[in-house]
Amino acid sequence: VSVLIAASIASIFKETVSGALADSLAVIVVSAIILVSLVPLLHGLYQTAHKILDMRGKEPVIEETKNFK
Amino acid sequence: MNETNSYQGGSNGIVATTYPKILMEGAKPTVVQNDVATSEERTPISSITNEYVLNVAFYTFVGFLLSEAVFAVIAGSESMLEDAEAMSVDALTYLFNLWAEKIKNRPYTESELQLPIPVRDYRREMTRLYVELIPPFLSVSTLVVVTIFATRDALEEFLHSGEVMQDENGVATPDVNVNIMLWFSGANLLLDLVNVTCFARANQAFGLSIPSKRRQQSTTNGSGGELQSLLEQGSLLNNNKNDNEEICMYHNEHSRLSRRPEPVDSDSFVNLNMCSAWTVSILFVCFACFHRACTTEFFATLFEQCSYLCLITSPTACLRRHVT
Repeated sequence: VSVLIAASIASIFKETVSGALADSLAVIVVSAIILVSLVPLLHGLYQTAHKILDMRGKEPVIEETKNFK
Repeated sequence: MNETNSYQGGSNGIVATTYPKILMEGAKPTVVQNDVATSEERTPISSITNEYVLNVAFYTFVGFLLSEAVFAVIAGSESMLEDAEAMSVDALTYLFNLWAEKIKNRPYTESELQLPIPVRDYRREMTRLYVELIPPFLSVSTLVVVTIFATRDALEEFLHSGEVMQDENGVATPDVNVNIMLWFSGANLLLDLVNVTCFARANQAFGLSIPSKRRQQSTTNGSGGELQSLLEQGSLLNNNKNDNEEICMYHNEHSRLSRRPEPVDSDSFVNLNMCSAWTVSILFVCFACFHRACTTEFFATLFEQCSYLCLITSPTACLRRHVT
Protein backbone atom coordinates (compact mmCIF):
# COMPACT_ATOMS: atom_id res chain seq x y z
CA VAL A 1 0.00 0.00 0.00
CA SER A 2 2.86 2.35 0.77
CA VAL A 3 4.14 1.87 -2.76
CA LEU A 4 0.71 2.57 -4.16
CA ILE A 5 0.61 5.84 -2.26
CA ALA A 6 3.94 6.90 -3.66
CA ALA A 7 3.05 5.87 -7.18
CA SER A 8 -0.33 7.62 -7.01
CA ILE A 9 1.19 10.89 -5.87
CA ALA A 10 3.92 10.73 -8.46
CA SER A 11 1.49 9.96 -11.26
CA ILE A 12 -1.09 12.57 -10.27
CA PHE A 13 1.30 15.45 -9.63
CA LYS A 14 3.77 14.69 -12.40
CA GLU A 15 4.92 18.29 -12.82
CA THR A 16 5.51 19.14 -9.20
CA VAL A 17 6.35 15.88 -7.50
CA SER A 18 9.12 13.63 -8.69
CA GLY A 19 8.91 9.89 -8.26
CA ALA A 20 11.76 9.92 -5.77
CA LEU A 21 10.15 12.62 -3.64
CA ALA A 22 6.80 10.83 -3.52
CA ASP A 23 8.68 7.63 -2.82
CA SER A 24 10.40 9.05 0.27
CA LEU A 25 7.27 10.89 1.45
CA ALA A 26 5.26 7.68 1.34
CA VAL A 27 7.91 5.83 3.28
CA ILE A 28 7.78 8.44 6.06
CA VAL A 29 4.00 8.55 6.31
CA VAL A 30 3.54 4.82 6.19
CA SER A 31 6.31 4.24 8.69
CA ALA A 32 4.50 6.50 11.12
CA ILE A 33 1.27 4.61 10.57
CA ILE A 34 3.03 1.29 11.09
CA LEU A 35 4.33 2.50 14.43
CA VAL A 36 0.91 3.79 15.49
CA SER A 37 -0.74 0.55 14.45
CA LEU A 38 1.57 -1.35 16.75
CA VAL A 39 0.19 0.34 19.86
CA PRO A 40 -2.70 -2.10 20.44
CA LEU A 41 -0.40 -5.06 19.93
CA LEU A 42 2.20 -3.67 22.31
CA HIS A 43 -0.55 -3.14 24.86
CA GLY A 44 -1.61 -6.75 24.45
CA LEU A 45 1.99 -7.93 24.78
CA TYR A 46 2.31 -5.95 27.99
CA GLN A 47 -0.82 -7.57 29.38
CA THR A 48 0.40 -11.04 28.43
CA ALA A 49 3.78 -10.41 30.00
CA HIS A 50 2.06 -9.18 33.13
CA LYS A 51 -0.10 -12.30 33.24
CA ILE A 52 2.98 -14.53 32.89
CA LEU A 53 4.66 -12.74 35.76
CA ASP A 54 1.54 -13.20 37.86
CA MET A 55 1.28 -16.90 37.08
CA ARG A 56 4.97 -17.74 37.46
CA GLY A 57 5.72 -19.70 40.57
CA LYS A 58 2.09 -20.59 41.11
CA GLU A 59 2.25 -24.04 39.56
CA PRO A 60 0.11 -26.50 41.51
CA VAL A 61 2.36 -28.62 43.68
CA ILE A 62 2.40 -32.20 42.45
CA GLU A 63 2.48 -33.48 46.03
CA GLU A 64 -0.88 -31.87 46.64
CA THR A 65 -2.44 -32.91 43.38
CA LYS A 66 -1.08 -36.40 42.91
CA ASN A 67 -4.24 -37.81 44.40
CA PHE A 68 -6.09 -36.66 41.31
CA LYS A 69 -4.18 -39.09 39.10
CA MET B 1 -16.31 -56.49 33.23
CA ASN B 2 -12.66 -55.74 33.78
CA GLU B 3 -12.02 -53.36 36.57
CA THR B 4 -8.40 -52.64 36.03
CA ASN B 5 -8.18 -49.01 36.91
CA SER B 6 -9.03 -47.04 39.93
CA TYR B 7 -9.91 -43.41 40.14
CA GLN B 8 -8.97 -41.76 43.36
CA GLY B 9 -10.88 -38.71 44.29
CA GLY B 10 -9.33 -35.62 45.60
CA SER B 11 -10.54 -33.70 48.58
CA ASN B 12 -14.06 -35.04 48.73
CA GLY B 13 -13.09 -38.36 50.22
CA ILE B 14 -13.78 -40.62 47.28
CA VAL B 15 -11.24 -43.34 47.64
CA ALA B 16 -10.32 -46.07 45.21
CA THR B 17 -13.46 -45.81 43.19
CA THR B 18 -13.37 -48.50 40.57
CA TYR B 19 -14.93 -48.07 37.20
CA PRO B 20 -15.24 -50.20 34.12
CA LYS B 21 -12.31 -50.46 31.78
CA ILE B 22 -14.50 -49.60 28.86
CA LEU B 23 -15.27 -46.26 30.47
CA MET B 24 -11.62 -45.55 31.03
CA GLU B 25 -10.75 -46.37 27.47
CA GLY B 26 -13.56 -44.28 26.13
CA ALA B 27 -13.18 -41.35 28.44
CA LYS B 28 -9.47 -40.65 28.56
CA PRO B 29 -8.97 -39.78 24.91
CA THR B 30 -12.10 -37.66 25.07
CA VAL B 31 -10.56 -35.60 27.84
CA VAL B 32 -7.44 -35.02 25.83
CA GLN B 33 -9.23 -34.14 22.64
CA ASN B 34 -11.51 -31.66 24.29
CA ASP B 35 -9.00 -30.09 26.59
CA VAL B 36 -6.82 -29.38 23.64
CA ALA B 37 -9.26 -28.05 21.14
CA THR B 38 -7.83 -28.39 17.70
CA SER B 39 -7.89 -25.60 15.19
CA GLU B 40 -10.88 -27.14 13.53
CA GLU B 41 -12.71 -27.27 16.82
CA ARG B 42 -11.87 -23.69 17.53
CA THR B 43 -13.53 -22.59 14.35
CA PRO B 44 -16.68 -24.63 14.06
CA ILE B 45 -18.54 -21.77 12.41
CA SER B 46 -16.16 -21.56 9.50
CA SER B 47 -14.24 -24.27 7.74
CA ILE B 48 -11.19 -22.01 7.51
CA THR B 49 -8.80 -22.45 10.40
CA ASN B 50 -6.26 -20.03 11.81
CA GLU B 51 -3.49 -22.29 10.56
CA TYR B 52 -4.90 -22.32 7.04
CA VAL B 53 -5.12 -18.53 6.98
CA LEU B 54 -1.59 -18.13 8.26
CA ASN B 55 -0.33 -20.66 5.71
CA VAL B 56 -1.98 -18.78 2.86
CA ALA B 57 -0.66 -15.46 4.17
CA PHE B 58 2.87 -16.78 4.58
CA TYR B 59 3.24 -18.38 1.15
CA THR B 60 1.58 -15.55 -0.76
CA PHE B 61 3.68 -12.96 1.04
CA VAL B 62 6.94 -14.81 0.45
CA GLY B 63 6.18 -15.24 -3.24
CA PHE B 64 5.18 -11.62 -3.63
CA LEU B 65 8.02 -10.06 -1.69
CA LEU B 66 10.64 -11.94 -3.69
CA SER B 67 9.30 -10.64 -6.99
CA GLU B 68 8.75 -7.17 -5.52
CA ALA B 69 12.35 -6.99 -4.34
CA VAL B 70 13.61 -7.79 -7.82
CA PHE B 71 11.38 -5.19 -9.45
CA ALA B 72 12.20 -2.64 -6.74
CA VAL B 73 15.81 -2.76 -7.87
CA ILE B 74 14.75 -2.45 -11.50
CA ALA B 75 12.43 0.50 -10.75
CA GLY B 76 14.89 2.12 -8.34
CA SER B 77 12.15 2.50 -5.74
CA GLU B 78 13.08 2.77 -2.10
CA SER B 79 9.47 2.45 -0.98
CA MET B 80 9.10 -0.81 -2.89
CA LEU B 81 12.23 -2.09 -1.21
CA GLU B 82 10.91 -1.02 2.17
CA ASP B 83 7.61 -2.62 1.36
CA ALA B 84 9.45 -5.85 0.54
CA GLU B 85 11.33 -5.62 3.83
CA ALA B 86 8.13 -4.99 5.76
CA MET B 87 6.50 -7.89 3.95
CA SER B 88 9.40 -10.14 4.89
CA VAL B 89 8.78 -9.21 8.51
CA ASP B 90 5.08 -9.89 8.02
CA ALA B 91 5.90 -13.25 6.45
CA LEU B 92 8.13 -14.09 9.40
CA THR B 93 5.31 -13.04 11.70
CA TYR B 94 2.93 -15.38 9.94
CA LEU B 95 5.49 -18.19 10.19
CA PHE B 96 6.03 -17.57 13.90
CA ASN B 97 2.34 -17.36 14.55
CA LEU B 98 1.69 -20.51 12.56
CA TRP B 99 4.17 -22.26 14.78
CA ALA B 100 2.56 -20.76 17.86
CA GLU B 101 -0.91 -21.90 16.78
CA LYS B 102 0.42 -25.43 16.25
CA ILE B 103 2.00 -25.47 19.69
CA LYS B 104 -1.19 -24.25 21.32
CA ASN B 105 -3.30 -26.86 19.59
CA ARG B 106 -1.02 -29.86 19.79
CA PRO B 107 -2.30 -32.90 21.66
CA TYR B 108 -0.89 -33.82 25.02
CA THR B 109 2.22 -35.97 25.04
CA GLU B 110 2.51 -39.20 26.98
CA SER B 111 4.56 -37.54 29.69
CA GLU B 112 2.00 -34.74 30.01
CA LEU B 113 -0.77 -37.27 30.35
CA GLN B 114 1.01 -38.66 33.38
CA LEU B 115 0.69 -35.31 35.13
CA PRO B 116 -2.25 -34.35 37.30
CA ILE B 117 -4.82 -32.31 35.43
CA PRO B 118 -4.24 -29.03 37.34
CA VAL B 119 -0.51 -29.21 36.66
CA ARG B 120 -1.09 -30.10 33.04
CA ASP B 121 -3.53 -27.23 32.61
CA TYR B 122 -1.17 -24.82 34.29
CA ARG B 123 1.72 -25.78 32.03
CA ARG B 124 -0.43 -25.63 28.91
CA GLU B 125 -1.67 -22.19 29.91
CA MET B 126 1.90 -21.00 30.50
CA THR B 127 2.94 -22.36 27.11
CA ARG B 128 0.03 -20.58 25.49
CA LEU B 129 1.02 -17.32 27.14
CA TYR B 130 4.66 -17.67 26.12
CA VAL B 131 3.90 -18.42 22.49
CA GLU B 132 1.53 -15.47 22.45
CA LEU B 133 4.23 -13.25 23.84
CA ILE B 134 7.56 -14.18 22.28
CA PRO B 135 6.81 -14.52 18.51
CA PRO B 136 4.78 -11.29 18.30
CA PHE B 137 7.39 -9.49 20.38
CA LEU B 138 10.18 -10.60 18.02
CA SER B 139 8.27 -9.58 14.93
CA VAL B 140 7.25 -6.25 16.43
CA SER B 141 10.83 -5.51 17.43
CA THR B 142 12.08 -6.35 13.95
CA LEU B 143 9.38 -4.28 12.32
CA VAL B 144 10.21 -1.29 14.51
CA VAL B 145 13.91 -1.50 13.65
CA VAL B 146 13.24 -1.87 9.92
CA THR B 147 10.79 1.02 10.00
CA ILE B 148 13.20 3.30 11.84
CA PHE B 149 16.03 2.64 9.40
CA ALA B 150 13.75 3.08 6.39
CA THR B 151 12.38 6.33 7.80
CA ARG B 152 15.86 7.67 8.38
CA ASP B 153 16.84 6.97 4.77
CA ALA B 154 13.58 8.44 3.50
CA LEU B 155 14.06 11.61 5.57
CA GLU B 156 17.51 12.09 4.11
CA GLU B 157 16.14 11.68 0.63
CA PHE B 158 13.21 13.97 1.36
CA LEU B 159 15.41 16.73 2.73
CA HIS B 160 17.66 16.57 -0.33
CA SER B 161 14.81 16.21 -2.79
CA GLY B 162 15.72 19.41 -4.64
CA GLU B 163 19.16 18.14 -5.48
CA VAL B 164 19.89 16.03 -8.51
CA MET B 165 20.88 12.63 -7.25
CA GLN B 166 24.12 11.32 -8.68
CA ASP B 167 25.76 7.95 -8.53
CA GLU B 168 29.43 7.29 -7.69
CA ASN B 169 30.51 8.27 -11.20
CA GLY B 170 28.72 11.60 -11.07
CA VAL B 171 25.98 10.49 -13.44
CA ALA B 172 22.47 11.62 -12.54
CA THR B 173 20.43 8.68 -11.32
CA PRO B 174 17.20 8.06 -13.22
CA ASP B 175 13.92 8.85 -11.50
CA VAL B 176 11.82 6.09 -9.99
CA ASN B 177 9.81 4.05 -12.48
CA VAL B 178 6.29 4.97 -11.43
CA ASN B 179 4.62 2.47 -13.74
CA ILE B 180 6.28 -0.51 -12.09
CA MET B 181 5.38 0.93 -8.71
CA LEU B 182 1.75 1.29 -9.71
CA TRP B 183 1.53 -2.25 -11.06
CA PHE B 184 3.11 -3.78 -8.01
CA SER B 185 1.21 -1.67 -5.55
CA GLY B 186 -2.05 -2.62 -7.24
CA ALA B 187 -1.13 -6.29 -7.08
CA ASN B 188 -0.08 -5.82 -3.48
CA LEU B 189 -3.43 -4.30 -2.64
CA LEU B 190 -5.19 -7.30 -4.16
CA LEU B 191 -2.97 -9.59 -2.11
CA ASP B 192 -3.88 -7.68 1.03
CA LEU B 193 -7.56 -7.92 0.19
CA VAL B 194 -7.25 -11.68 -0.25
CA ASN B 195 -5.55 -12.00 3.10
CA VAL B 196 -8.01 -9.69 4.81
CA THR B 197 -10.83 -11.83 3.42
CA CYS B 198 -9.14 -14.98 4.66
CA PHE B 199 -8.68 -13.53 8.13
CA ALA B 200 -12.28 -12.39 8.20
CA ARG B 201 -13.52 -15.81 7.08
CA ALA B 202 -11.50 -17.45 9.84
CA ASN B 203 -13.41 -15.31 12.33
CA GLN B 204 -10.35 -13.33 13.22
CA ALA B 205 -11.93 -10.11 12.09
CA PHE B 206 -14.47 -9.15 14.67
CA GLY B 207 -13.69 -12.52 16.14
CA LEU B 208 -10.85 -11.65 18.43
CA SER B 209 -13.32 -12.42 21.17
CA ILE B 210 -14.58 -15.60 19.55
CA PRO B 211 -11.83 -17.87 20.90
CA SER B 212 -12.97 -17.16 24.43
CA LYS B 213 -16.51 -18.18 23.58
CA ARG B 214 -15.25 -21.29 21.90
CA ARG B 215 -13.05 -22.05 24.82
CA GLN B 216 -16.04 -21.76 27.07
CA GLN B 217 -18.03 -23.91 24.70
CA SER B 218 -15.22 -26.44 24.58
CA THR B 219 -15.14 -26.50 28.35
CA THR B 220 -18.87 -26.84 28.64
CA ASN B 221 -19.09 -29.49 25.98
CA GLY B 222 -15.85 -30.99 27.14
CA SER B 223 -15.21 -34.29 28.70
CA GLY B 224 -18.35 -34.17 30.73
CA GLY B 225 -20.49 -33.43 27.73
CA GLU B 226 -18.90 -36.14 25.64
CA LEU B 227 -19.23 -38.61 28.42
CA GLN B 228 -22.83 -37.60 28.93
CA SER B 229 -23.60 -38.12 25.27
CA LEU B 230 -21.98 -41.54 25.41
CA LEU B 231 -24.08 -42.33 28.43
CA GLU B 232 -27.19 -41.12 26.66
CA GLN B 233 -26.41 -43.28 23.66
CA GLY B 234 -26.61 -46.19 26.02
CA SER B 235 -23.24 -47.57 25.11
CA LEU B 236 -22.17 -47.44 28.71
CA LEU B 237 -25.48 -48.13 30.35
CA ASN B 238 -25.74 -51.83 29.73
CA ASN B 239 -24.03 -52.63 32.98
CA ASN B 240 -25.45 -53.45 36.34
CA LYS B 241 -26.62 -50.85 38.83
CA ASN B 242 -23.36 -50.90 40.70
CA ASP B 243 -21.45 -50.04 37.59
CA ASN B 244 -23.82 -47.16 36.87
CA GLU B 245 -23.27 -45.73 40.30
CA GLU B 246 -19.54 -45.93 39.76
CA ILE B 247 -19.89 -44.30 36.39
CA CYS B 248 -21.84 -41.44 37.93
CA MET B 249 -19.27 -41.01 40.66
CA TYR B 250 -16.52 -41.02 38.09
CA HIS B 251 -18.48 -38.67 35.89
CA ASN B 252 -19.02 -36.16 38.65
CA GLU B 253 -15.45 -36.31 39.83
CA HIS B 254 -14.14 -36.28 36.30
CA SER B 255 -16.23 -33.27 35.35
CA ARG B 256 -14.94 -31.43 38.37
CA LEU B 257 -11.35 -32.24 37.59
CA SER B 258 -11.66 -31.57 33.89
CA ARG B 259 -13.05 -28.12 34.44
CA ARG B 260 -10.32 -25.89 33.19
CA PRO B 261 -9.83 -22.70 35.11
CA GLU B 262 -10.98 -19.82 32.98
CA PRO B 263 -8.50 -17.04 32.53
CA VAL B 264 -9.16 -14.15 34.84
CA ASP B 265 -10.00 -11.93 31.94
CA SER B 266 -11.53 -14.56 29.76
CA ASP B 267 -14.03 -12.09 28.41
CA SER B 268 -11.25 -10.06 26.96
CA PHE B 269 -9.29 -13.00 25.62
CA VAL B 270 -7.36 -11.97 22.56
CA ASN B 271 -5.43 -14.25 20.27
CA LEU B 272 -2.30 -12.13 19.97
CA ASN B 273 -0.87 -14.39 17.31
CA MET B 274 -3.72 -13.51 15.02
CA CYS B 275 -3.82 -9.93 16.23
CA SER B 276 -0.20 -9.30 15.32
CA ALA B 277 -0.80 -10.69 11.88
CA TRP B 278 -3.67 -8.27 11.49
CA THR B 279 -1.91 -5.00 12.16
CA VAL B 280 -0.79 -4.72 8.56
CA SER B 281 -4.31 -3.93 7.44
CA ILE B 282 -4.30 -0.51 9.04
CA LEU B 283 -2.19 0.57 6.09
CA PHE B 284 -5.43 0.77 4.15
CA VAL B 285 -6.20 3.91 6.09
CA CYS B 286 -3.17 5.65 4.74
CA PHE B 287 -4.11 4.58 1.25
CA ALA B 288 -7.63 5.92 1.68
CA CYS B 289 -6.44 9.24 3.07
CA PHE B 290 -4.18 9.88 0.11
CA HIS B 291 -6.82 8.90 -2.38
CA ARG B 292 -9.37 11.10 -0.69
CA ALA B 293 -7.04 14.01 -1.24
CA CYS B 294 -5.94 13.09 -4.73
CA THR B 295 -8.64 11.29 -6.63
CA THR B 296 -12.30 11.52 -7.48
CA GLU B 297 -15.06 11.42 -4.92
CA PHE B 298 -16.14 7.98 -6.06
CA PHE B 299 -12.77 6.39 -5.36
CA ALA B 300 -12.38 8.34 -2.16
CA THR B 301 -15.69 7.00 -0.89
CA LEU B 302 -14.86 3.48 -2.03
CA PHE B 303 -11.49 3.40 -0.35
CA GLU B 304 -12.84 5.10 2.72
CA GLN B 305 -15.30 2.25 3.09
CA CYS B 306 -12.48 -0.28 2.67
CA SER B 307 -10.36 1.46 5.25
CA TYR B 308 -13.28 1.70 7.64
CA LEU B 309 -13.86 -2.03 7.34
CA CYS B 310 -10.21 -2.71 7.98
CA LEU B 311 -10.10 -0.35 10.90
CA ILE B 312 -13.05 -1.82 12.72
CA THR B 313 -11.93 -5.35 12.09
CA SER B 314 -8.31 -5.21 13.04
CA PRO B 315 -6.23 -3.08 15.38
CA THR B 316 -9.19 -1.15 16.66
CA ALA B 317 -10.82 -4.38 17.62
CA CYS B 318 -7.73 -5.30 19.58
CA LEU B 319 -7.62 -1.89 21.16
CA ARG B 320 -11.27 -2.03 22.11
CA ARG B 321 -10.87 -5.47 23.64
CA HIS B 322 -7.87 -4.40 25.66
CA VAL B 323 -9.24 -1.10 26.78
CA THR B 324 -12.49 -2.59 27.93
